[in-house]
Amino acid sequence: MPKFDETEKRQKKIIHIFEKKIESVGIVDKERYARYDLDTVEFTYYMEKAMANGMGFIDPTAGGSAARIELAQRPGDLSGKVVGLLDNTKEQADIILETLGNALREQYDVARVVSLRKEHYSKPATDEMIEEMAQEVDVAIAALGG
Amino acid sequence: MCSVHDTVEFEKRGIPSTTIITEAFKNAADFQFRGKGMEGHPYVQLPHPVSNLQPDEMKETTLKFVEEVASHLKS
Repeated sequence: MPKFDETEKRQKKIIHIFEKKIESVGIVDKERYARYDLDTVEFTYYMEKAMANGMGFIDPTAGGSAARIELAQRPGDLSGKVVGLLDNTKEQADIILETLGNALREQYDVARVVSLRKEHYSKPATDEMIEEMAQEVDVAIAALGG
Repeated sequence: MCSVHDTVEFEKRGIPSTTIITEAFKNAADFQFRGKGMEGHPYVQLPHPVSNLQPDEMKETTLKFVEEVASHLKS
C-alpha cells in the first residue's frame, strides 16, 4: 500500500487519480465517492479493482473445504421472537443494529432485542458470547462487515 | 470478516442469523461463507462506505434494509 502525504494538494491529486481509476471500473458512482475520506478512497480502489478484475481473495480465516452446514430452520414470522444483535464495534454498527432492533419491534412485533458488543471487530466472538446469546434469542443479526 | 464467522456459529446452534456488510465486502463475505460450509448464506449489503455518514443518514439508510433483514430471518 502506498503511503500518502497528508498535504491538501497531495490529497486532492490522489483523490483525482483514484477517482478516475474507480470511475474506469464503473462500479462506484462519482457523487458518493467524492465524500470518501482518503483511507476509504484507497481501500475502495483496491477492492473495486480486485472485483472488476475477478481477482480472488486469499483469506486465512476462511478455512478449507468445510462440511456443508444447513441453514437453521426459520420461523414463519418474527412476532414474539427475541432478536440478538451482535455488535463487532465497527464504526456505525451500533447505529445500524439499534435502528434494526427498533424497526423490527415496531414493524414485525418482535418481543425484545438482546444486544452484545464484541471486544473488537478483528476477533470472532468468543464461544461463550455466542452461547450466551444463542441461549437467549430466537434469531440473530451480526454487524458490521465493512 | 468475523461477522460471517459469528453468523455461521449461530446457524450451527440452530439460531437463524444474518450479517450486515457493506457492498465492498461482498466477495470477502461470499468467500468466507463458502469456506465455512454455508455458500449462498443470505446477508445484507449496505452501500459502501458508511463511516462517513452522519447518524441520521446512517439510520435512514438502515431503514431501507429492514424488510430484507427480516426476510433472511424468517421463512
